[in-house]
Amino acid sequence: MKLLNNILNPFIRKEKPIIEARIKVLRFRKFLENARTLMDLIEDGKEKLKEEYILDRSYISSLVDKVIENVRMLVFNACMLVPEGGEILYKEFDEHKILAQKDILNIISEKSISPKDKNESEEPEYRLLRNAVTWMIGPFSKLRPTVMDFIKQTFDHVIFGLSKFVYPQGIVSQLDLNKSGNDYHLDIIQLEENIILKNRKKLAINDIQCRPLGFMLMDNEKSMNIDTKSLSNQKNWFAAVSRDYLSLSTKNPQNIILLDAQLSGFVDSDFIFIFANKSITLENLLPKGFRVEKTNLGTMAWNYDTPKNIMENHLAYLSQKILKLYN
Amino acid sequence: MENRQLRIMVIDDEQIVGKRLKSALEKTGDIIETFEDGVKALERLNNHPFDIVVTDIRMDEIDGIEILEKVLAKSNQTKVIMITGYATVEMAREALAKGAFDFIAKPFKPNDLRAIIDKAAKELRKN
Repeated sequence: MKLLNNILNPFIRKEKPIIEARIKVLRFRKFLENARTLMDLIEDGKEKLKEEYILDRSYISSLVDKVIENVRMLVFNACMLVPEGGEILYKEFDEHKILAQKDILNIISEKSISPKDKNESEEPEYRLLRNAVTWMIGPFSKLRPTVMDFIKQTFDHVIFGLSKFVYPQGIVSQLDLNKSGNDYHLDIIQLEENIILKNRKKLAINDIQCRPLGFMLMDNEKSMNIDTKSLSNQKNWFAAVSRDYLSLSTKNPQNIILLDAQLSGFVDSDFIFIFANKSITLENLLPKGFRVEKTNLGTMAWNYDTPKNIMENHLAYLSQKILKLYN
Repeated sequence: MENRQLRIMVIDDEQIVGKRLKSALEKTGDIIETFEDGVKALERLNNHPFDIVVTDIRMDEIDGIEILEKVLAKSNQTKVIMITGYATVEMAREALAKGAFDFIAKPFKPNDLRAIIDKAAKELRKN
């Protein structure tokens, strides 16, 4: 046993940083999945409120339960990614949960719901659904944060925390390339291959089998009109890649850009997520069809439920806009 | 069966369902009766025939499957459409196996149910 440990220990020591880096990227992907589910649930509640749907109390309680469960998973993954400050997130999550229990779920569990007063024209189920949607996205009459506010706060917690994460030297490969006359430098880890990369191995584009990155690095002759003067001293990007997945980020907490994309060909699971801090006007860099949300730290944008060829075009377009910010 | 008014019974223990469906389905001139109590609905069915019965699957007193069985035992011409909620998809499959015409999952738009009713009406006209 001791002999086996002696043989394995150097291997484990070398593998540990790369495994930790991979786990962070994969955990962030889970975090994004929770967030996407939450966005869909919130949209569903909004739509049911707008349209003339036949619904009952079990729909509302199921919607609220699913939102609570996904926010709980979001907070869990956020705290695994960035443990510092996690107790504040859990405390605030509890407050949102208690509020939902008191204002929505307890009322639903009562056998009969009666209108508030004689002048109340809205049916009680729709009034409850309205309460649930207000709990999720507001507006609240008082200065009380909504679930959506809390989701954004959780994103800020994670993205700012991750921007300070330093990938250990020696675990990454490097890619230097010239695209449309600009030089780029990427530090790369591979998410799927179980290999120890000796020193800082230089890669060629063809070495990287990653669909999203492939579309980003495709040549494109469209003009780029981004003012990069204030950002010109930032040169490095970090990319975690697998065949279908790319997690691309800058390494500087002062100028955060983060792009995660899945391009597997399955519309249900493919997406592009981008976050940029306040120094960048992200809205001006996006192609049409992105859902944009402002946070205290910056702006995040999503694109999903989009056909594969449009996603590919989006990535090619974004590469012109985003890579150039730090070329 | 000629293109006449349909007699449709809606059974759901959630008041909002009957209320909304009655006003939506009456727009096409059909006769709609709504019940929150499955037992009372069955009593009514014993005295008055209905072309189509739309019933929720999960109810306290008597569930939709039992209603389906009793309706079909009385008249196999009647088309029974099941309303399913969250986590009752398995029961919907059971209902189809027992002779339900179709099912629809809540939340739904009245027009979605109207499309199923139109299909059922076509079947009734064939007989």
